[in-house]
Amino acid sequence: MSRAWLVVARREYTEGARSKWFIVTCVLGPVLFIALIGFSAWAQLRGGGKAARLALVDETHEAIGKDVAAELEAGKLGDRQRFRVEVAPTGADRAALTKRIDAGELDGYLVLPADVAGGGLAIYRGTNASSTVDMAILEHSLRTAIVHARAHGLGLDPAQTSALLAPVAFDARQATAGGQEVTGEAAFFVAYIISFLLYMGILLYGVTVMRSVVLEKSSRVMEVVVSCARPWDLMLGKVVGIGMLGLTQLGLWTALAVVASAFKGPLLAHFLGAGAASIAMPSVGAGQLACVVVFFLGGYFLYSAIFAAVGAANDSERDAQQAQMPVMMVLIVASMCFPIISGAPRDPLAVVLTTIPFFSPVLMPMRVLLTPVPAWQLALSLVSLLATIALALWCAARIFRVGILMYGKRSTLRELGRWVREG
Amino acid sequence: MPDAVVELRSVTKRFAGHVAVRDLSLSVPRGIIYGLLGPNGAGKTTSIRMINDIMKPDAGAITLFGTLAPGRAAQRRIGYLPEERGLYPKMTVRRVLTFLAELRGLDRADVAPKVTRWLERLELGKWMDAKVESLSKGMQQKVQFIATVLHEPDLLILDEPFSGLDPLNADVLRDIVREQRAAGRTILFSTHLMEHAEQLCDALCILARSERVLEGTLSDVKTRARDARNAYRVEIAREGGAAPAVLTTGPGMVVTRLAGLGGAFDVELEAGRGASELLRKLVDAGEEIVRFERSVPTLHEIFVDHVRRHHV
Repeated sequence: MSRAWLVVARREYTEGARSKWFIVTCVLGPVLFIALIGFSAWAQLRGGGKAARLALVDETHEAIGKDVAAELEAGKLGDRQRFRVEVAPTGADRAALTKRIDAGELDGYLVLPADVAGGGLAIYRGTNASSTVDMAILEHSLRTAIVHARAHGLGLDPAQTSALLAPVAFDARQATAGGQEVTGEAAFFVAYIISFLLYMGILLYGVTVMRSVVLEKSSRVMEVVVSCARPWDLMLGKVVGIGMLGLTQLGLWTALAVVASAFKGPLLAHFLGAGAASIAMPSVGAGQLACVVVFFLGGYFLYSAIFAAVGAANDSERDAQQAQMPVMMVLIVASMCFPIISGAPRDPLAVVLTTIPFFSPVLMPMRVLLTPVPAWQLALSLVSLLATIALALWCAARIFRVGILMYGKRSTLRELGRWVREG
Repeated sequence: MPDAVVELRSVTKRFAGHVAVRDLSLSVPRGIIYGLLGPNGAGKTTSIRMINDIMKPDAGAITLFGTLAPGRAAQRRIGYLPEERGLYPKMTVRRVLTFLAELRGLDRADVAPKVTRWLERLELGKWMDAKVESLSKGMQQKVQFIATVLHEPDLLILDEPFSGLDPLNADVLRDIVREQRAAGRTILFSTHLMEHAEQLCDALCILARSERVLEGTLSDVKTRARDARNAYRVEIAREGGAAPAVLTTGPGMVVTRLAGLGGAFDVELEAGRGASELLRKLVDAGEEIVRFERSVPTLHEIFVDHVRRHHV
C-alpha cells in the first residue's frame, strides 16, 4: 500500500514528463540558450558593420592629425577596419560638416584644437558615439598620437617612446574556495549562469505547481482527490513530483553541458576566436555543487509552497496569474541583487542578502561559487531558509485546505489570513 | 443502532454568516439505499463533505462503520461521487482510474483487470486509452462512476448522481446501484428529484433550511403520511369529464381529479367522516365503482408538504 503523497507525486511526474511542454523545453531549452549566447557574442563582434566615414579637422601646428588618422585606419575589430578618414581643411565649418552627416555622406567628424597636446579639448561628433568599440578605438588612437607628440616635444626619440609605452604584463584571477584560481571573467560567467538557472528553475517549476493546483480546481477533480487524500498529502505530492521533474530537466541539461564541455576547446575557438580555446573554465567542487543543489531545493520548496497556496486561493488561470505577481516580484528583486554579490561577495551587504530566506536560494550559490563562505554564515543562511520553509508549508497547507473547495470569488489577503488562523 | 454504517449525532456546521447544517442526527443502516433529500441549499452537500472528512463539523459527532471517525481509514472504505465532478482532461481513461484507485490504497497490479472489466461493462472498452477530454460528457460521468466503485467500497456516497445523465444512462446507474445493494453495500445518495428517490430509497431523510424535517424508512414515511390524511382514491367507470355531482356537492370533501387516469379522483374527507360514508354516497348515486382505496401520497407530495410546512 503506497502512501498517498507518493501516488500524487508519481502522477505529477509521469504526466508532466509526457506533456508536450516538458519535451519541448528539454530539447529547446539548451538550443535557445546556446543560440542566445551565440547571438550576443556574434552581435558584439559584428560591431557597427561598415567602417565609419570620419572627417578630421586638424588645427595643430605639429600635424598630429596625420598620426591620429594613421592610428584610426589601423584600428580594427576582428579583421575589419572601423574608420575611414578624410582630412578636412583647417578651419572647416562645423555646421557644414554637421549637414554632411545629416545627408548621410559622413558618419562623424573629429576636431583637434591647436593646443590639443597641451590639454586642449578634442571634439568628436558622430552617429556612432554610442558604440563602445568605436569610441575605444578613437580614444586609443588619439591618446597614442598625442603621447607620441608630447614625447617628441620632450626630446625623446621614437625607440624611447615605444619603450615607455610597452604594455604592462598583468594577470588577475579569482581566488575561489579550495585555492583554485580561475580568470575573473570565467568565475563570474559560471556563477552568473548557475544563479540565473536557479532563478529560472525556481520560478518555472513554482508556477507549474500553481498551475497544477488551479487545473485541479477548474476541472473540478479536486473534490474527488481530497476525498481520498489529505490536502497536505496532495500539496506535498505535487511539490515533490514537480520538483523531481525539474531536477530531471536540470540533470538532462547538465549532462548536455558536460558533453559540450568535452568539446569546450573547439567550441570556444569557433565562437570566440582561436585565443579563446585555452580559457580555463572553473571546475565546480563537490562542496560547491552540494551547496547549489541544497539551496535550489530549499528555494523551490519555499516558493512552490507559496505558489501552491496562490493556486488554491484562485480558481482560474487568469486570476492566479495576477495573484502570483507579488511572489514573482520577490524573486525578481533577488535576481536584481546578482551584481551586488558578484561585485563584492564578502561585503557585509552580500552577507545580509544571502541570509534573507527569500533571496538566499539564488544568491548564496552565487556567493559560494565566487568566494569561500565561512561555515557559520552558511549555517545561518540555511537555518533561516529551513525555518521559513517550515512556516511557509504550514501556512500554505492551511490556505490550501480551505481554498481548494472555494469557487467563484477571488480571495482577499484578509480572508487568506483567516484561513491560516482557522484552517 | 449498532449496525449503522453512517451515524450523525447533533452535527452542526457554520460558515461565515450562516449555518449550513443545524443539529443534524441521522442513521444509515447497513445494506440499504438511503436518500438524503432536500431543496437546493438545504445542507445535503455540506453533510456529505463532513462524512468524507473534507470539512470538519463545528459541533456534534460522526461515526462511520460503527467505530471510525471520518478520516483516512474510513475514506478507503468509501466511494464518493461529488456533485461537482471532473477528471484530469489530459490523462487517459485508464491512467486516471488507476491513479484514483491507487490513491485509495489499491495496488497497481490489482487495479488493471478491474478497470478493464468495468469499462467493458459500461461500454467504454474502446475508450480505455483515449484522453478524458475526448470523451462526451455522459461518458465522462460513467468514468467518474467507475472511479467511485472500483475499489469495492463498503459505502457509496453519491451526491446528485443523476444530474446531467440522459434517461438511458440514468437507468444503467440505477441498475448498478441496486446491484451494489444486493452485494451487501450501503448506498447514501442525495437528490432533489423525488421520482429517483421514490424508485430507489429504502430509507430517507428530508432536510430543509439546514435542519432535518423527516427521517425513516420509505414505507414508514408513506404509511405515516397516509395515516395523517383522511383521503381515498376513487375510480369509477366513466368516460373522462368532471367529477360526479355526489363528490362535489357533498359537505366536507375536497376532490382532486387525477391527471391522466380517466375517472380517478382523490377525495380528502374532513376529520370525523369515514370511508363507509363516502362509499355509501357513491353507491346511492349509482356510480359504478372500479376501485376504492386509502390514498397514499407520493414522495413528491410528502416532500413538498413537509418542506412548505417547515418554511412557514
